[in-house]
Amino acid sequence: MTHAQPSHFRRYWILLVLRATCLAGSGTVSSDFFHKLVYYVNALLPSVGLPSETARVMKASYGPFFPEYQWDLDRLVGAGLVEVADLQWISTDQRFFGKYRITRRGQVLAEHVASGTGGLADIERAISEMVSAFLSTPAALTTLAAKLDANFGQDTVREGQVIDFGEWSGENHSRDAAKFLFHNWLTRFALPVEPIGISAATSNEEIAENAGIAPQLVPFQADKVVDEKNGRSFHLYANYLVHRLAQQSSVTVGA
Amino acid sequence: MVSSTRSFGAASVADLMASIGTIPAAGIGSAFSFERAGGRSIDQVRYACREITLPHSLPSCVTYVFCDDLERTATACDFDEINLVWTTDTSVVLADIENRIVLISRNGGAGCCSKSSYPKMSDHAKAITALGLGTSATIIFQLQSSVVTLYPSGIASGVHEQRPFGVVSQLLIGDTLEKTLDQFDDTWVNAPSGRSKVWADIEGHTHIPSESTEKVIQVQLQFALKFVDSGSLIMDELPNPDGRADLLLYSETPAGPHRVILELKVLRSFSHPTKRAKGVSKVPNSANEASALEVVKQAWSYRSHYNAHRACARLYDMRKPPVDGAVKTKSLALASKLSVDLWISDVQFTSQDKRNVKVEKALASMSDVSGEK
Repeated sequence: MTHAQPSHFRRYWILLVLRATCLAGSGTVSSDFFHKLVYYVNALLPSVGLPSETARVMKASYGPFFPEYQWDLDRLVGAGLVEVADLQWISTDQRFFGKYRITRRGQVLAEHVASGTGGLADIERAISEMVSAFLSTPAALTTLAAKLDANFGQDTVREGQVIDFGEWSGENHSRDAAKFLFHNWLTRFALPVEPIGISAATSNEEIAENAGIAPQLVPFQADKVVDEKNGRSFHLYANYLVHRLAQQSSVTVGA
Repeated sequence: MVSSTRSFGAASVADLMASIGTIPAAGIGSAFSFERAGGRSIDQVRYACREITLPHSLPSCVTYVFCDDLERTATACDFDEINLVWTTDTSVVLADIENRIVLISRNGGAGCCSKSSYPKMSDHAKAITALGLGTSATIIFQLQSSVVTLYPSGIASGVHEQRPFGVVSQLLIGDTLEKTLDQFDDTWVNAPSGRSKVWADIEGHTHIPSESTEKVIQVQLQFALKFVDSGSLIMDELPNPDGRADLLLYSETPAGPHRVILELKVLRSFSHPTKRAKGVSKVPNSANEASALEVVKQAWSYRSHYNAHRACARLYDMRKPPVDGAVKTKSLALASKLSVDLWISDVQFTSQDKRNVKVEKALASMSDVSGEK
């Protein structure tokens, strides 16, 4: 279950996502891209042992939508930390559509906060990795791909309803699928022997046990570090969405 | 065995497994971001162009880095503040090799104050020429591409050649691995808080039992390498018919998997159980010599088994002075014959030892300077 966070934490989260998009080469993101990124960040961060900021999302016809994130995003624009361009009113959906980018001030603030706090620095690193993974496979960020997501694509939830991916139910299918992909991907290494030694341990205790040493000897706080190997689950999941999209397209064409 | 009918919400196991099969041959890795490009592209470009005679002597050799096509809208200030900062940062780093680097998104403008986007190469050329860099030697370093394009007389000339290019892990380029290991020694093994707090003052031990020393270094080193480069997998204790490989650095490249074997051994003066009070026994010189030769043989043997590009061995010499120098000489000679990169690291025990090493280094550098004069 996700603990309630004060809104300033959510705003920091937003800055991290927008900063990551800048660093990945896509300075400006549309409203829809932004909400999808926020959704995947929250759904997949638990796959590397980090907490999500929220675990509920509205299922809209145009993809995942977080009303509270939109509210805070607009306030960040007012604060001069984010800027918006090409704002349009979409009458069919009764919402505004714009293109957002983090300002220099916002970026400096995000970096300042991240560098001063160990736990946030880990989250910042994971979000950067996640956003880079999805932006390098843009097809995974389309609305069609979102409808193939393990959580979002469930038929049991209708449009306009809220999807709970861990807030109360504790079920996060996307997280589980990402973990499943990662563990199966590891076994596919073309090594001449069974890669028994590939350690997926993420806590100091696990690492110490695997290494046969006392936990005090583990030099870094491994449980607070996003293992880059596990970070690959983000890439694998983005690749999965693209794969499913291609499957769907071929079925449609074939039909 | 996982049932193929099992599902994760809207995702089925069969689809998930099938998606793994679609991963490109070059593999997947940590995504390439501008942040990383700023720090890494220089070595990548150097590596890609290692056989190209680069006009380094020219004051301005421009390297363009194109990121992959992304959804991006050209705005009035597309040469934005953020990318401008990156350009400045990388210019500072690149000053070392008298290069400049311009980070550009392919469809997001070419670093100019313009509302236009530049989908064509010719548009980029015009924009760069307008910046006064059109006649500078140029490398087009396109991310996620398998070639780099060299414009020896500048992008404006249009004369160019393409060379194969593969993004490889930082640790696999040049002497990065050796430097990283040195840095690990300086900042961890020989750091005041490192050895004294972690190596000696641990619960239940008055010191590290000799049998665990190598393992402790291995675990610590494994993490240190991960921090240096997230582009490669660091695997440990891989069993094989000849034994167990200490560390295997594995990186996917467009040209196929790239592997480096790293074996570790510790030379000691004394062997002792968990409690020092239970007594210590002297390690004979022959045992240390056997270890020093063994590490080279292991690295050589595992290299062929894992089809590794490189076999490396690191000896941590923890013996108290005076030490028998013949051990090192013999192992270095064997390493040379077997084409194994053997590095020896002296672990200093006391502050006095550390001071002595510093003084020796200082004296050596002074003599080098006077020798040059």
